[in-house]
Amino acid sequence: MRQGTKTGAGRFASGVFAQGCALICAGVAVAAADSTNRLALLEQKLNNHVRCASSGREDGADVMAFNIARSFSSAECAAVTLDGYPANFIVEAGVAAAYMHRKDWTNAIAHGELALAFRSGEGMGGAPERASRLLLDLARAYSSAAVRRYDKADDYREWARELDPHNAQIAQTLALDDVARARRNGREDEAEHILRAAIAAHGFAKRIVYQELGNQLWDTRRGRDAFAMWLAQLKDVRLDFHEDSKELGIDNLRKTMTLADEALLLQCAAVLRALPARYPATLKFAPFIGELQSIANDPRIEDELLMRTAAHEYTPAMEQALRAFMATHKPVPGRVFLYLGDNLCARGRPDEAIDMWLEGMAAPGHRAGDDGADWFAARIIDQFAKASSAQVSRCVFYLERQCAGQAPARMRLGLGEQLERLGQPDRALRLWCDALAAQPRPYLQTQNGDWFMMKLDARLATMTPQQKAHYADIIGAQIEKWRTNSLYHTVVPLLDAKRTSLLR
Amino acid sequence: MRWHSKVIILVVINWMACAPAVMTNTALFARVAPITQALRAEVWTTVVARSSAALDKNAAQLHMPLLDAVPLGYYLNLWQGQALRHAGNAVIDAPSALRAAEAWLYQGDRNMACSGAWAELYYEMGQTYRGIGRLYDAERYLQASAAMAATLTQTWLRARLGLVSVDMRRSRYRPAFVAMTNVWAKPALRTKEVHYLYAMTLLSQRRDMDAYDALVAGLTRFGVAPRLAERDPLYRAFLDLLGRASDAHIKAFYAVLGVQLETMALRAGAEHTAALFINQRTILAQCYPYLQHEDDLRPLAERATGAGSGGDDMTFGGGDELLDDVAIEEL
Repeated sequence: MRQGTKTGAGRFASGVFAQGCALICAGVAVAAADSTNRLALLEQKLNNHVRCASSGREDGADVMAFNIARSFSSAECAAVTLDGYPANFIVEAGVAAAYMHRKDWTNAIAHGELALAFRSGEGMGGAPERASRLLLDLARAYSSAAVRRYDKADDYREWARELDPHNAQIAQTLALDDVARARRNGREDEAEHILRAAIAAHGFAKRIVYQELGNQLWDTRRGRDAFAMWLAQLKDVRLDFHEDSKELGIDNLRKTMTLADEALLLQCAAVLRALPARYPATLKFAPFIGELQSIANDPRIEDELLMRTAAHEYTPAMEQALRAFMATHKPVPGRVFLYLGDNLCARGRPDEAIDMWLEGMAAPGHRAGDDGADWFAARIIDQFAKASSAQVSRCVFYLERQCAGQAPARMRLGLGEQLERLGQPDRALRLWCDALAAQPRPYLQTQNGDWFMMKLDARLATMTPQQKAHYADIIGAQIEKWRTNSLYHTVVPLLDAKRTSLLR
Repeated sequence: MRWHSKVIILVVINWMACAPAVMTNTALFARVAPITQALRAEVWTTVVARSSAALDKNAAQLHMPLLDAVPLGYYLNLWQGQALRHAGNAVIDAPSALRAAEAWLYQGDRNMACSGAWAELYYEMGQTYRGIGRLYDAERYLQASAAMAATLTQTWLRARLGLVSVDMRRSRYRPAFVAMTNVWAKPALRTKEVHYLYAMTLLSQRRDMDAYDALVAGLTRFGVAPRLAERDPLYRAFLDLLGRASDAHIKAFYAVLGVQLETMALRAGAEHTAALFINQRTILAQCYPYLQHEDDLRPLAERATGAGSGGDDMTFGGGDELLDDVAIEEL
């Protein structure tokens, strides 16, 4: 037999051997593949449970997730890899996530660190996002109130950033962490800058980034900007077909609607109106589309828009619209009277305008603003020269009866002057005396003293002795009010001298 | 034998010697035809059932080459894995089936096994792993698939698009955008999926107008797949970020839905899609006052009635579903 040739039996034997080897190899390969698949399945279940537990959808899901992870931690799969990571890394990272959910930071850190140790033993291969996610979790655990190891947390954040530099989602999560740190250090400006940069960066900005920035603007009393940001969020961010208006942040818009200007309100109305069209028109989404349509048709937006337009548009059509609004809305908001009065005044009907403002003043809910400004009063005073005696009387009536003690000083000063002009100086003096008496203390706005006292002092020559005595009594009462004030020793001698001179 | 007969015999022998690279086994093809039909129709449960049955019943023929010396067993396992990915346990069963397909390639004649089979298998593996979140594994297999497939072929393109999808899932938008820009540069490759992915990468780069141009172009060219209806990627992408679209794009979208409604085949099973188009157009017209609301239901009903008297397959199934869905108009 020549070398290199085989008999039939030899060929058969070598064939059997080769097939046997192939079967054994295939068996080993299949077993390893099955373990990997089982690991993948368990990981998927684990993630689902942790997700359910995080969103509060399933009671005890975190315990279940924990048990699943624990049950899988066996030696049989020590050599199995998934996504480039050993099974132990996957399991320990899962356990850490479960502990994170329970806010058991110490155990979360322990298992997270263990997972990292498995990972470093396997080299740097694998999906970077898995390691980055674990590092971010660990950073959160380290920066928790219970642990407070901020230096370690910062190290892990940097590590996560280096591991996956192109990942926009991780960049946004890191940005939110940076914002929290900046706020912790009292650097609100830096936090705002980081959030704005995260929104402007490439990728799909998360809804929470917009909401964080909106909240910050709201907290810093920039209501209009906050409204604009919440609106931008609704417009720019992917819907992902969420079916909850709270998740979409519509409530924030409704809450701050009164702070927006006309342009923003118009934009808001357009965005809300278009919202139902952003969902597939199927039966599944029908209820939510209906809800969105009712939100878009919310009359408050239209009303706000009407008010914004009425503030600057003085046309007959607007007058009609405002009157129609008054007919359908009870009680009528004060600003409707204000804008309608402005409208009439601007179109050469001051008489009707004053009536309208007076009506606004008389409205049940009307109060002067916190800062003492009363827009009705200001407007009526501006037009006092054109007011009839009946209107002045009405104004006095409201001030004396309804708005006693609340009417702003400027209103009372102007009204007194108007009463003098109409030949009722005694009434004017009584008004100013009452105003002076109603004040907590005489204001010292000018070098000469209080505005009302100036008015009264200027008319001392025409005052009757009874009026002077009344004026002196008021000053006496004011001196008592000053007793508890630190300026007592400066002011009281002046007031006392004035009272003495009046009684002389 | 005459000389010309000899010439003919020589020509035939020569032709047989230079047979085309694609050799098929006609008898086996006839046997797997029902599976391939179900595969084309994407009736995944049927594919799973038939491929499993074929694997059980034809054990003796599994090693026989079906196409290009690739054994029948490979194809059955590949199709089974593909179907399980869509309608089965994608975590355990689909990878197992694909592993079995891989084993067939190893057992077969490696010299004869064409690279297309490997590229196809790796593509399926990549997509399966992408679906279950094993993105690193998915990337590796899709890269292997793209490397093994002939450049600019459909398999190559699908693998490239799969890689872009993986990048998008990993929020790595910039590399995805660069890759899609390269694909978009070749007009012959602009499939529906290319339009979708290119638009999404453009949106991620805040190039909203270009993105909506791509979406409108895709919808105009390919339309909304009636089979997918509201799950059509272009349709969903357009709606999801509608807030960033211009008025012109919204008008175009509205018109595309109208045209598709006018031209769609009115056969049983199409009610849902028709109702979707009608309702979507109605809601769009309600939300955007500049769109001219048209009565879509009447012409469609007329068409259905007219066609119904003409032939069986041109009528709607029952009509109840259409009416139910159209009830959304009342919202």
